[in-house]
Amino acid sequence: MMPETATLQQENRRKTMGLVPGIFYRYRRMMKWFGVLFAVMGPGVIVMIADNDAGGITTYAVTGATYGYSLIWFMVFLGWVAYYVQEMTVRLGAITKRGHAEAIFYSFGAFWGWFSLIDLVITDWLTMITEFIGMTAAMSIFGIPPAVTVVICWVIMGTMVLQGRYWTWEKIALFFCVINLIYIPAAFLIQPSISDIFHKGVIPSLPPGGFTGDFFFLMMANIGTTIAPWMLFFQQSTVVDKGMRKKDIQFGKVDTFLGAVATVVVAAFILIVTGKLLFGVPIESAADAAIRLMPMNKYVGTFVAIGLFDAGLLGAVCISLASSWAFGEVFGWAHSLNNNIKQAPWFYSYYFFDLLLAGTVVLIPGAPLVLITLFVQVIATTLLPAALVFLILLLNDRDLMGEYRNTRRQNIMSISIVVLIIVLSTCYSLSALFPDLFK
Amino acid sequence: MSDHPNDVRSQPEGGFLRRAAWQFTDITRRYRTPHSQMTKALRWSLMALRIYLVVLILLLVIKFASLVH
Repeated sequence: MMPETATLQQENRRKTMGLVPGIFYRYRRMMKWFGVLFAVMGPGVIVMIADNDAGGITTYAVTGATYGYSLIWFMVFLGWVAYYVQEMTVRLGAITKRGHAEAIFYSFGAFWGWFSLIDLVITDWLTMITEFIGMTAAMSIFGIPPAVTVVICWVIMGTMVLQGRYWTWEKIALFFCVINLIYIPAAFLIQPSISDIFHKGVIPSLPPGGFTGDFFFLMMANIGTTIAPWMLFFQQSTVVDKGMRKKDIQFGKVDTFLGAVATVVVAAFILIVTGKLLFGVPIESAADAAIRLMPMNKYVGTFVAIGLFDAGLLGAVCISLASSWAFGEVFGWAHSLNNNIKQAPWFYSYYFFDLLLAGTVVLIPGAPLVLITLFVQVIATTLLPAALVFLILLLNDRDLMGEYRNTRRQNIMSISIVVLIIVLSTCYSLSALFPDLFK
Repeated sequence: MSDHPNDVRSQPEGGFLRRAAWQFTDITRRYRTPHSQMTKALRWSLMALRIYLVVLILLLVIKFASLVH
């Protein structure tokens, strides 16, 4: 007689119970499931909400001001694409117990590994600069000089990581994720028409004017801000640092899905705020949007500014950690947030070096900050396909992933996403090089 | 936590650049043999993609520099 599996034993136990004990038993199992979910939850929510970084908030603000509610459906689509991509890093991290950089070195050798690491370093450092640009611009609205903002950010970001425990860092990061939802009350304050939002935004359609060059450019900017190379490295490294295992993968997927929902919600509410109050007003950045919103509604303007600062802070923390983890994995340094600074000196040194360098660039007098923000987004989008291709190859490695490798359906979806991004990022780069090309 | 087993290694004496060069060659040696099989077609496709992306990035950098000046 074959021994009963654990699932079968539970099922048989439930069948022999009475009604009330059966309900109580189901309730206890459900609460246990939620308990595990809340324990595992973190990497997916943090990476997705950090994805709404300073550059992202700016892109959404400009999109709303230019096209109103018209592209809310597109945000939903991008959220789904981001979930699809990030879910793969959960499986990869939990199965291989390696960060993304180390996984590429291990599977594909040093040549491709160094290319990936150099890509990550360049895009991360450039994106860090845009985070500091966003934070200093946001705090300037309240009269705080950029130099003071940069120093405050260094102190906050340093304090977050130096306490020597991954779990503490995660809880602080989740707190900042909650602040990122500040755009929701901002949108409710302006009392937008739900009917308008549904008819103009939720139902897929092109905005008035149709498919113009400007529309294409903004669409590509939104794509570029939704999936970034650092996100792949960050989530996989947090999955490893958190110690997630095979049986935690299902919870990691739920975690990532919840994060994707939150990111779409934030993006949509920003579109609603600027779409209602700043429609047709040419704005250059989220800070610009906040300044223009202040005279219309002081609270909405303040919320947008606070949200921008929080987005930059969260983005900067995650991006610099992504790089530090990647270097630590490859160079063999101790590289866990569970190590203190004495145990992992090089890990924390790289982290602070990244922060200091990016913050300093923002303080250079006359630095073309708006131009930097624009070009950094284009460069990050251009380098994204290279990172995605390796992710798909790793997820198809039977020896590495076993039963958790990609299914055919997942491969079709992933490859379609990569091809689409290659085509669009080419067009995006060309439109930055030749602005009149798509007009 | 996945600390690398070779975290404490003997390094050559010398300045920062010499030790950095040693680390670079050590990592390249350690990961010299890939564990995943890649067909020639895949390798060439990846290389073509990589060259294509590098050219795009260079053009963007040149454009950025021209706009700044």
